[in-house]
Amino acid sequence: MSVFLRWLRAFETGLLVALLLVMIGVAVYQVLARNLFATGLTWGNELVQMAVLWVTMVGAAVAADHDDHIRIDLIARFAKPRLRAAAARLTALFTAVVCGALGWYAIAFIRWDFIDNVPGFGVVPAWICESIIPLTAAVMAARYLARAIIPPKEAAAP
Amino acid sequence: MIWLGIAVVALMALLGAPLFAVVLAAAMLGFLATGVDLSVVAIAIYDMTDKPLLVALPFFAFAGYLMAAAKTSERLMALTRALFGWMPAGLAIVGFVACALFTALTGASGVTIVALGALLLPMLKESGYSERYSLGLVTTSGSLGLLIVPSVPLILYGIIAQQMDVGERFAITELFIAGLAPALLMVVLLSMWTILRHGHVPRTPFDRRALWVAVKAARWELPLPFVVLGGIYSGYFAISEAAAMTVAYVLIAEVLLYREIKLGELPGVIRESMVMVGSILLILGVALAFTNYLVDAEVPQRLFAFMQEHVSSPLTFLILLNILLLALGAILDVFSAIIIMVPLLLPVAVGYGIHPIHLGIVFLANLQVGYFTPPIGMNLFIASYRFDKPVLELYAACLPFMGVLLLAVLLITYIPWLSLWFL
Repeated sequence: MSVFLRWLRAFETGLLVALLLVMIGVAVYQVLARNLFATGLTWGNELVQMAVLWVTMVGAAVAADHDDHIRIDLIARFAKPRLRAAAARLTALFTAVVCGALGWYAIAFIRWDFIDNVPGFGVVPAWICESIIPLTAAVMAARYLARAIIPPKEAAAP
Repeated sequence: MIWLGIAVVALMALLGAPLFAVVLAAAMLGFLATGVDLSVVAIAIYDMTDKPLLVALPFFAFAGYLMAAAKTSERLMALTRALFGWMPAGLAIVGFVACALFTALTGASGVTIVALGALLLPMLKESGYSERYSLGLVTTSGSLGLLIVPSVPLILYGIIAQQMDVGERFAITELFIAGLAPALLMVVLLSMWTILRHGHVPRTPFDRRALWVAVKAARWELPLPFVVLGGIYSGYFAISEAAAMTVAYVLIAEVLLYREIKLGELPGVIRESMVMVGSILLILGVALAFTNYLVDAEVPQRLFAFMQEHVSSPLTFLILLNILLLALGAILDVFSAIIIMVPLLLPVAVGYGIHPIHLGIVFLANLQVGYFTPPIGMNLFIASYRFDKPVLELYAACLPFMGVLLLAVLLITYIPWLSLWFL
């Protein structure tokens, strides 16, 4: 299990690095090509915009790993440790359920795009681009579920 | 049943559930109540790919993280010190200017307090400023600069306001110009107050050699503002493209020219910055879904009708807005406050005849003060952690600064000309 988690983390980091560097490369190429040679890739901007969605979802999945998501931390600041721990587990469970629901309904939406063969960008069909939503939603659901069942020790102090 | 759902979601928000989950659950509940298929939530997230401006966010965020990881803060300090250090209360003014610029570049995430505050605090105390004043300065200045290009919250407001398409249309570049005078006003007011109170602090003479050394050290970063602003205002590139050029330039400067970030460290910096981007943009994505529901349910219109019944003058509305935003700024971080509140408040504000650009500047100016508003403004805790001081001591240290900045916020709110003079 821990080998799998290590592998998953390395894969996520690698994916973020690859996505961002490709985004920067393509975006800079587009600017230079347009201003210097009046050309550019027809799918270049679409690729970069798609990469923003991917970076967002993968970044959010990584944030779930250490529970780095933005929150109102009224309780975390002022509650006693026991209440704080209970609140952390409860909210983690809630988050897992919500992420699970997001993944479930995303699959329903992607199924239709798959059946209708909706185009995404360039030659890539939309369902491949969209698949990152349920994938990362599942990863987030799993991470928060794990937090609800076995709370990590570091969760105590902000 | 729906009310039970709402109660659960509200409780979870208070208990500290991640905001994206809270907003997502609220959107799902809303659509569930109106009988809409819940797949629309995923579709709304996917709609992010339809917003070219969003590209600017990951780029500017990464560029900011790169500069925070390099020694940019030290060079910026040296340069502003050489430029402004000779003035009365010079070092304090250096602090305000350096913090404002650094925050604009890195995105107001506490990086300023951690990176610049640690440099500034000992310097301030050595030059004769009281401990309390010095602590107040580094804590409150951590969010100074929210209004200066290319601050990520400013861009975020522009993106959300533009896609709502209510009120007068405006270009993001106009929003950038609008932020300058109010930001300058804040720095000037803070400086004037400091000169009155700490004018007796010994001054250091202007040193041309020190300036030259500082300029030479910053030679690779000095062209940056021209890359960003020159490109945008000359029309060579759009905001998202300027962001791409900025990040490429910063990458080359910090990794190849200064060599302060090794290639092996890049994945870590990328990962860290994209975690921030992911957590902000995911909230944006689910908030798009929630906004769709609000618009379907005509919530902004109802809110406006309700407000009209009770609040007749724009002035009263603005006062209420100030209070609301200060409170929000203290409990929410600036990104989620913008993402969640702008869709609700912009239509109402436009109904009162407030220009969307002015609203944006008022919004950010208030949230900036909210950052260090007791009891839980985020800067207070970052500073408490970083400088190892009790939070209560920081409350006291920040209060006078808060007074000065609140005066600035009031001026910005009630003199729209400050933000709209160029239109």
